[in-house]
Amino acid sequence: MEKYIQGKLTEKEWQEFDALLKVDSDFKEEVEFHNDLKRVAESEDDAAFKEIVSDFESEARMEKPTAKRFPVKWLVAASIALIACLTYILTLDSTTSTQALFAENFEPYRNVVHPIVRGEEGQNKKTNAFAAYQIGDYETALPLLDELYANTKEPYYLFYRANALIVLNRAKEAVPLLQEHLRTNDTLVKNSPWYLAMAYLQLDDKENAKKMLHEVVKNEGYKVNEAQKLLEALK
Amino acid sequence: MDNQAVKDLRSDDRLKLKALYNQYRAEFLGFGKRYSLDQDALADVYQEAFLALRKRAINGKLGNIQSSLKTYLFGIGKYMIFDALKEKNRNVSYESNMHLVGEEIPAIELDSKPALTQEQLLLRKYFKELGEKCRQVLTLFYYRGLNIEEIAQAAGYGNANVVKAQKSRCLKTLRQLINS
Repeated sequence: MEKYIQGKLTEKEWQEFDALLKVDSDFKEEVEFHNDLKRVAESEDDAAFKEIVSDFESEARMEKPTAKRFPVKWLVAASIALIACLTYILTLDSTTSTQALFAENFEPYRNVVHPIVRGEEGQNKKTNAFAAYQIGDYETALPLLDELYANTKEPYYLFYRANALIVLNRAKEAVPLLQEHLRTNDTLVKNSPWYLAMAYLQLDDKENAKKMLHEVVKNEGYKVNEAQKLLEALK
Repeated sequence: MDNQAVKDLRSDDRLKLKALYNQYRAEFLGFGKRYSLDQDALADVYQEAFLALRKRAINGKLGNIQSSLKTYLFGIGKYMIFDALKEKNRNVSYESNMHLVGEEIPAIELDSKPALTQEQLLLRKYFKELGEKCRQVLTLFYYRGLNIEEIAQAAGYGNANVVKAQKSRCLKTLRQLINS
């Protein structure tokens, strides 16, 4: 029986089968039962699958709104990335060039106020301050210079403090000091415009840097040539 | 024809079946636009075509087909579209839309199944009253034509004997229901 259902009866078995079918009514009933069952199972399976496919269709329709050809999310992401890139490139150009110009041109002004003679170290605060400044230890020098200015109000301290601050990447604090210095009639004031320009360069303030450089050129003194070259570069 | 796809059609793997369904759906709906059927009717046709395709896969009729699954599926669909158009308008001939057809998709005629007989309808009633396990085993045996070992594997039974016992229990129940 199983073989019949499987459709795997041999020729000989088929003959036996047919013979039995004709003769035995019980057998016939049995065969019909199995045929019916096959048909029913098929019909049920089809119905079930039809349900499943219908679900697929509903689900496909529900998903439709989001399945755009070009998902908006990607467009947004892409344009943000593009804007970011452009901004970076555009700002990159100006910041590196001002920073580069700063690096090329800035040098802290040398100690001309209180030259340190070997052996003198540690004698007093002023010596210590300028000794530190001279060897490039601006971190130590700065607080000392601040104190000295507070006590003596000597204008050159403003100048040197500003220089130290610029070296220490604190150009922002240096600017007011240099501006103050310019108001005095210290001998070093002719140098201050240049250093103000340097400070502005460090701060990426192209406009003010150019202004100060024009000053330098006008004064026709300290760093005139360098100022002119810089103005060209900053155009 | 893609063997893996045919295998998937014969399987009970809902995810794979859904993937296949979705794979060609959009294209079919686009393909069907040229015939004057509305989108809902087209979607119905697509479902019917997909069902028919699956049936053929189960009956082993896709084994020797040379064309791709897509071509075959669309062929079935095309035939069904013509049938639907014929229903709407008696004067539509099968060839009248040929000039619109770009690709070479032959319309594939299907053998229709006769309706269930009285006995079969009755049997179906009782069949539905059987538990799910019973219906599964009997379907695999009678409709899908798997043998006992294959059923044991497919349905996750421990061994063949368990399947045999289950099958005879189910048949017994069914007969009892009929005779009551």
